[in-house]
Amino acid sequence: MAHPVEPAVFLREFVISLFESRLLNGAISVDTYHNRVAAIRKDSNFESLSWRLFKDAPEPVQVDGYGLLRIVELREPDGSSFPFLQGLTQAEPPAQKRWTCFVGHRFLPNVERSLRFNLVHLLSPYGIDLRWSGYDLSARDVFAEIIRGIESSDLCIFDNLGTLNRPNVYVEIGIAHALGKPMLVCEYMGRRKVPDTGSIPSDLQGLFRIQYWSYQELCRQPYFNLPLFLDRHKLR
Amino acid sequence: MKTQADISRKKLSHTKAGGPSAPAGPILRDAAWWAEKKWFEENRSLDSLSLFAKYFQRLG
Repeated sequence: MAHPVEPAVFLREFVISLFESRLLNGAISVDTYHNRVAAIRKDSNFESLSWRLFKDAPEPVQVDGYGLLRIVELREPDGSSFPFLQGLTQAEPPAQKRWTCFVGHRFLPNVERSLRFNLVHLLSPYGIDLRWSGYDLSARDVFAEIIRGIESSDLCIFDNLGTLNRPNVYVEIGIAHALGKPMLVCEYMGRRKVPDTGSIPSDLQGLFRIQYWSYQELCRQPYFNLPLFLDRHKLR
Repeated sequence: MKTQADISRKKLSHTKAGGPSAPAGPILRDAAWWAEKKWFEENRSLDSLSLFAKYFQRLG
């Protein structure tokens, strides 16, 4: 796999970003974070493992007996790709342990192709199957189908990219909120690139909200928060 | 004399709110949060790559 990134730099930056996210949520202390960063910069294993990960991608590589890591290529809305480091379980969860996640987003081909592709990679290895929305709410039966979809899901993810004049996703967030569904609300902040995007209504800002500037960033934050989110809502 | 941790702490306290690294909202310190904090403390002896792999192994 050829990438415009230096493998060891990418791997170090990615692993550090997990610890930064845990620092910000309070799970690790400032001292622990900086000790980790210093150790990561000195650790020569990052050099050898990063080359193996990129050379064998998307085949997984075993790390010391603690688990498998692999590099996958995920997608930005403009069709470009970026590498993503994925930690894997040894085997897929059994059928009875699977959960359904309703995904609400603007019905645009570039959002569909990238967001759905990315989320399937992030969630399906952990027993979370996706269900889509993305149709015009003016069709009454489609609206009922969306309500049924949210109602029957165990959790929801909403992305507001490109929704300035298409507020469907906010209606769906309201439905999920009224039904008491655990949800991640992703708010696109890079308005210079995509001017057709509104902002999350202030009344909804207390929800588990992720602000992002690119899908590379959007993928990391839900991924790093996944264990805590699933535990919090007793989904595993 | 200031330690590196003191300097780092001071730098963090001056980070502007609202940037990409700022917390998105209030921290909910429930049982799940305490369990995660405990998990990191119990696994602090692992090197960072092993800890990263084990963190996502938890989901299985």
